[in-house]
Amino acid sequence: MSVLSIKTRIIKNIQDNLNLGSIKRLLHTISNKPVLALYGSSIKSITDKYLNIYTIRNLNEVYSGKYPVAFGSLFLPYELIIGLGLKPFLPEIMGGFTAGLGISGRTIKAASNNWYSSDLCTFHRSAAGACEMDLFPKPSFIVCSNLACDAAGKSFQNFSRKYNIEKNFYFIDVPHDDDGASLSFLSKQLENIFYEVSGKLNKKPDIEKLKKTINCSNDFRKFAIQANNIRKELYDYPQYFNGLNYILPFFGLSGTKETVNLYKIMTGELQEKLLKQDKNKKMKKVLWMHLKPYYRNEIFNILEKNNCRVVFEETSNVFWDELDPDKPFKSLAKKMLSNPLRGNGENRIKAVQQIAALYDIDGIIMFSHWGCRQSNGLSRLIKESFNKKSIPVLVLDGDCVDINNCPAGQIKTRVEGFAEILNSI
Amino acid sequence: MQIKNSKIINKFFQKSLQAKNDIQNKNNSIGYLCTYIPEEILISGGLNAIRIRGDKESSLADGYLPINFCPYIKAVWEEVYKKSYSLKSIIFATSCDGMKRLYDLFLNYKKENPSFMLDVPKNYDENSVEFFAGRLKKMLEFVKTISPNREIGNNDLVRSIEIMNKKRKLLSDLTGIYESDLNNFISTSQYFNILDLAVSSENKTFISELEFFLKNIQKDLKSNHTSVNEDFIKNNCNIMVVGNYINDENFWDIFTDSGIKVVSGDLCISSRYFDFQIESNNINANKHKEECLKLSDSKYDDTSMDNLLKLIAASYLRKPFCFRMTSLNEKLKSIKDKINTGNIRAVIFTSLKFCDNTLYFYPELKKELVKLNIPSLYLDIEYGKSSYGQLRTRIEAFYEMLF
Repeated sequence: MSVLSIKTRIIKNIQDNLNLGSIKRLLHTISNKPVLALYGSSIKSITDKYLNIYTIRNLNEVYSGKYPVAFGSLFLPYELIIGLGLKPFLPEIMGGFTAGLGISGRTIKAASNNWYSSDLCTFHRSAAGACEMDLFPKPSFIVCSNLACDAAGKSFQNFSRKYNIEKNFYFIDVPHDDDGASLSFLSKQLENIFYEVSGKLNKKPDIEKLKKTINCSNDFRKFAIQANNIRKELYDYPQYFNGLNYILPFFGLSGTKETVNLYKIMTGELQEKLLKQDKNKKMKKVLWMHLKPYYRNEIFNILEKNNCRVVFEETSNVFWDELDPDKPFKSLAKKMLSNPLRGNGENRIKAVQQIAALYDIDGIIMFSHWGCRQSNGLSRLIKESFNKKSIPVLVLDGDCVDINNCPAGQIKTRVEGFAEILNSI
Repeated sequence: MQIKNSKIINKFFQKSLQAKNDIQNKNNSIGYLCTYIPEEILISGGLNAIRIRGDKESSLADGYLPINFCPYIKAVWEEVYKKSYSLKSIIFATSCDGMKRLYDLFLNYKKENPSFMLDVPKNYDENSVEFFAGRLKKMLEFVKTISPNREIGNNDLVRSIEIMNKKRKLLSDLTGIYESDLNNFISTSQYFNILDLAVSSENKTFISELEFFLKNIQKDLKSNHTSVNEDFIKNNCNIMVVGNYINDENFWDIFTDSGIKVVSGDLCISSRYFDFQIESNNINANKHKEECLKLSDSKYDDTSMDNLLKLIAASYLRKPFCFRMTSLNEKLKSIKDKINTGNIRAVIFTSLKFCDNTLYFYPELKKELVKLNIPSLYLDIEYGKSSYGQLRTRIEAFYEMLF
């Protein structure tokens, strides 16, 4: 049985039986070793295979009810959550999953029925709808931050009311500026959460476990940097490889052994590809900013057909320094503060300019996701900053989650036009 | 009933209006963009502080910011970019994602104009108060560089706190009179016009005129207390408006023209702006008393600059919450309390379009209102460019349903 037919059956099953019980049963069934092996056997890329199996296992654990689950927003220092022995669950990522599973129409409708405005980001709306439909596992804690955007702090607090765990809702306030006061303010918050949550779990605060998690995160970081370095010269990627599919392990599972393995495997596979790559092969190098549509779409195929390749994504950037396990809270606070999406837009512009220089980028696609105020508000300045360097930027208006808000024909025309420009330079 | 049919603003606030217009020509004001920016600090060096209202006829801003972006922010950019008015500086705050991007535009295109970004925490615990006090200190240092008085001392700050406390107290008194006035002496439009003047004119002039106005109206109310407007009572019910920066004359005129009185407001220009005082007990009113400053019960006993800034920080972070803060339950409770104490019959939730903080709040508010059996109307509006005819129809139809 091919991977596509297994995937199609799983998706059909979820679509036909959209409720918590069915999701749990399905995850339990497909987490079974022979089924997973069958599923994995038909995936050509070993990195992709590991990612798929790891994600299914992780979700099965989260949905099993055997572990305390913490909902978290995308840019949290997950070393803290994992170090506390909690299973992270990222509703925003699940918002993306709803698109991939073809159920975002229903989750978004459920959000609308519960008075979420259609002007809001669809990652959050879809997650809110799924939450209202009781499709998520029940969390013991909710931790979120304002890093990158305001939305998580707001929607996640609504979730805390839904699950009646307002007292276990933690909001990490990431300051706008990066200075000594910010570092101390932020580390204190992380430290408070660590000790308070340990207390609520009736556990002695386990700093050693946190240190181990941080060491794991450092190992993952090392391999991620290696993989990123290989990508500077790589055009010939494994089939279906897309850096934007790795958001969950890159952010939400940093600090686990499995993420270390995943990036180790990725480094090996990409290295192999690089060695076999035709040395004369040249394609136009594209940098992708923000996220991508998570439903089936043709954007990346169109680019490839037109001799363009996304060689790096803003979200694959290892922006933080190695963490110091002996200063866990300060290190994690520094990691948060060094995120280019924090503070003035200048931070993000500088970061993408550095990436563009490192990867010898020919053009940039900035996906302008509906309702993402923090990102879209900067599009003009980003465009201008690259115009000065004669690097074309395509601001591609669309929606990462709602296929109905992203006209395929229009996208195709714009991407093809952009590729034509790149090839004419 | 001398006041009822007169134009209050023109009669009682002439000097304030004049001062508001003069600000365009005098180089003595500092602009700000959020109620979490303490005016006390902005005025302590001798400058006047005004809330930037923006150019409601924005068109140019669409080239700088996406279509689905806060219309107030666009209006501000329109005003700031187009006009060469004489503000000394603009103070931004980390109110929302949109405001951060507006600051980016300012830094990029208006490099020659001094500006400051105030980082306002979203929590209000002791750690946040400490942090905010530190940020206020930075802002004070910035204000010193552009003020006539470059040596702002503790006494200057205490004086500013007293001015602002007085203004807030008078605005609360005005609100009390407006909300309890069964004769409809002050219309909804007039009330919100005065609130707008409070943030766009010169403090001393406005305070003295408001004081005079309140004395007069209280006198009038006393002399007319027996002749209650029965028609008005019969055809009216208490409506509360909850929203963000709803500073739109045309919008309030709909209520006035339709004879609808907004009895309670939870908006950036109403209670969130003035419904608090800076007093020493603000700093002690929390569960970590022992970690706080030990201020005595009397006002500003310990007037060291750091203590004053901490006092301001605590007061502002704990003032009536904006939706940006992480105080969802407290916010819902305060609205429910107002509904109960104000005998509110219905709520109109009004948001400027694309305001994430406000829009994420609505689902939870709506659930609570359903539980309380309070009818509500959701309106998202543009800033000064709404379809007022459509809004009028919706508001009037909603109001009719209540009887």
